[in-house]
Amino acid sequence: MIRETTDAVVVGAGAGGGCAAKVLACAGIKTLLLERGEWAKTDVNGEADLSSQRMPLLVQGPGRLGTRTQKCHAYDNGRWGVVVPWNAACVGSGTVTYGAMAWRFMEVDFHLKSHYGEIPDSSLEDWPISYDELEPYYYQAECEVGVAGDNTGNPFAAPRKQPFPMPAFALDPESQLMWDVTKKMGLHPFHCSFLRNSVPHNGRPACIHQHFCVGFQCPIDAKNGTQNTVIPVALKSGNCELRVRAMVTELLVDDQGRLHGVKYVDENDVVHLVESKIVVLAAGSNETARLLLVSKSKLFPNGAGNNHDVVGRNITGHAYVDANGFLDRDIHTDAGPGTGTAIWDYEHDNEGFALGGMLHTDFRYTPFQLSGRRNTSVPAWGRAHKEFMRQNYKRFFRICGPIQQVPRWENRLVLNPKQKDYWGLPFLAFEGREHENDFKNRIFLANKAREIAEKCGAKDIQCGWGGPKDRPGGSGGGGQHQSGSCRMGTDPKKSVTDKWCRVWDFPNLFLADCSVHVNNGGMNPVLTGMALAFRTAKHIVDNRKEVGM
Amino acid sequence: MGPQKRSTCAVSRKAFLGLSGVVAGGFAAGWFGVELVEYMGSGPETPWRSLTEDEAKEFDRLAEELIPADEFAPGAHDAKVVRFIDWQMAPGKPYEKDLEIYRKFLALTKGMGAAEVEKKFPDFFATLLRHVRQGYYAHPVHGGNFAYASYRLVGLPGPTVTGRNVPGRENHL
Repeated sequence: MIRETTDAVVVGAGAGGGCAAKVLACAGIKTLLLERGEWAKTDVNGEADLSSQRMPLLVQGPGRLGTRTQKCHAYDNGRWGVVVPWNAACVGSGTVTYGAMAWRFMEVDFHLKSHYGEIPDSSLEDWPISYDELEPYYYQAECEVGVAGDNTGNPFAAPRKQPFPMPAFALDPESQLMWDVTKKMGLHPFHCSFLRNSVPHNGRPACIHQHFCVGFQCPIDAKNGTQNTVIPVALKSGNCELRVRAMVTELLVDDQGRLHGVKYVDENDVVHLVESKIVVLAAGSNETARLLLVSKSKLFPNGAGNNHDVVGRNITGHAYVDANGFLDRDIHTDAGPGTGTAIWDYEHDNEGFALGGMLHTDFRYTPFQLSGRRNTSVPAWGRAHKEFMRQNYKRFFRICGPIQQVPRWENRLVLNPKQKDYWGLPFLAFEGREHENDFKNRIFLANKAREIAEKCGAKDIQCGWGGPKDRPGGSGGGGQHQSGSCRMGTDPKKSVTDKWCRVWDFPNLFLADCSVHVNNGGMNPVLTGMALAFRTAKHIVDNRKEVGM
Repeated sequence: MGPQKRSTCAVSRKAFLGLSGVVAGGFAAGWFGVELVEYMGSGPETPWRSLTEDEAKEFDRLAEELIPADEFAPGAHDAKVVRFIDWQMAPGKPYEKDLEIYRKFLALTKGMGAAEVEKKFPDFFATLLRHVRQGYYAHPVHGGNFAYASYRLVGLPGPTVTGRNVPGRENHL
């Protein structure tokens, strides 16, 4: 066992942890950044599509730690199953391989309860902060990590005080088609914004339009994650030390209920006890909640900060809907990665249900992905299927998008009582089912996707509405975009943190990831997580004396 | 800014080829990056890593019927789809547990056409088809799709060639 001391520990070098570590280290705070994975490398991850982050059929993408990253799912019938999660485990985490869509939530997303009123069977709440309070930090994330975009034409976007730091990407032909058609329909198409360089930015080159982007690490570093932006800045400050293959297994809480550090296990399975003045958890919505739950102590027998049984509850993810069809001409060119046009017309105030979602053109499919999609008249194999592939790969048309899920108190992460992982910690498991409203939302948005695809001239349309009704967890914890497991709020009995993302029962424990989201937006949540991490870290720096630094 | 705006390509082709580890210029280099060379030159193809010679032959026969050669691109045989499944079922590999299934059924399918196999052993056939598609359409690094047979079939340029392209300049439409 090794004992050591630092000023701040940040657990997890992903989206939020990278941003938080940068702010702390650059303010002169001695920071230890602990990451369970290691640096992702393009020569390892390359173009191997069956082990990419998006299609981990053979092995996981970055972070192939095997048994070190498994999770559990609790099924309705009481069965527990070990699942290999899609979550990355590497420096930068999901920001290495994400599609990098970068959205600010809408203003209304911060006060949904006020807007929609009480929704039965939901735990919908207003955020303890408004969009205006987060706006400067959205901009900080857009500049320091790097966002290209253009909101012109999107009347639903929250107001910006500054223009995007980089111009939007040109539209690919598929996105141009969706743009023209939706415009004609009276909708409001606009440019998707990305954490990806449309022009050289912060010393790294512009995107070269590889075919495949989402799920893969960018070979020229034109995709902006924390691993190639804020984390290097933190390391260069001289105040931040990054340790990889370091799995934090417990928060150290003494019998008086004081948090004084973390326990972690290094790659040689040596235990380290790190005394620290503050701890920032940024392990992602799943693992942050697990770490709190497993950190049991005398005054917190149900886990750190969990005396009101809120930790792990209210989780949401994103259910996706889509419409897929084929045009009568080639639409795709040799330039990737696709995805250029989005519409937010259906994000809110739809008829017959609350909330809504976004639709956008999607990233280019790999040939294997398309091989499972075909016209119903085409045989599944043989010469005809091969001919279908040859003729249609460049004609495939697809739009998709996430719905904003209604959070439920019963949708939650729990510790699996029976199975333990590599470190002897209980597996995380997911419980619950989606809200009735989500089902209506999915059907509505899928039909809108179909309508647009039809008007774009797509034939043989197959619509996906995200699975059967009442599906377990509503994709809450096993897929992507997990959030909300430790929501922020104003009432310690109904939330895990205050408005500064500080865990109620500890003056020195902060969360810097999407776990604090009160709801998840009808769009990809990562930029909001980054903005919150910047804001929380600045708050720590501004109040460092209060925690003895 | 309107949709007509072009983004600029900051990386020259030469620079990109260097970055992606391709050893020689030209179209061929686009297809045969170091990744592929590394896996192509990995020694004799027998003995197989998981299948027996007999099983490999039977798998190969069925795979070729599922994705046959035509005038546009090689079929499953020439794309070495059997090598894909053989590698992925080797000890410690992800499909190791499926070897048992193949061991059982590839002994029963002798002399049957794919349609008959589909009818008689639908579960096995679903597994077979899934794997054959993976071996043919996924990236060569996994063991199949030899010389990017399927990428050429669908008109997908090699990754290094793609890197040069900028929207509005590719003139494919």
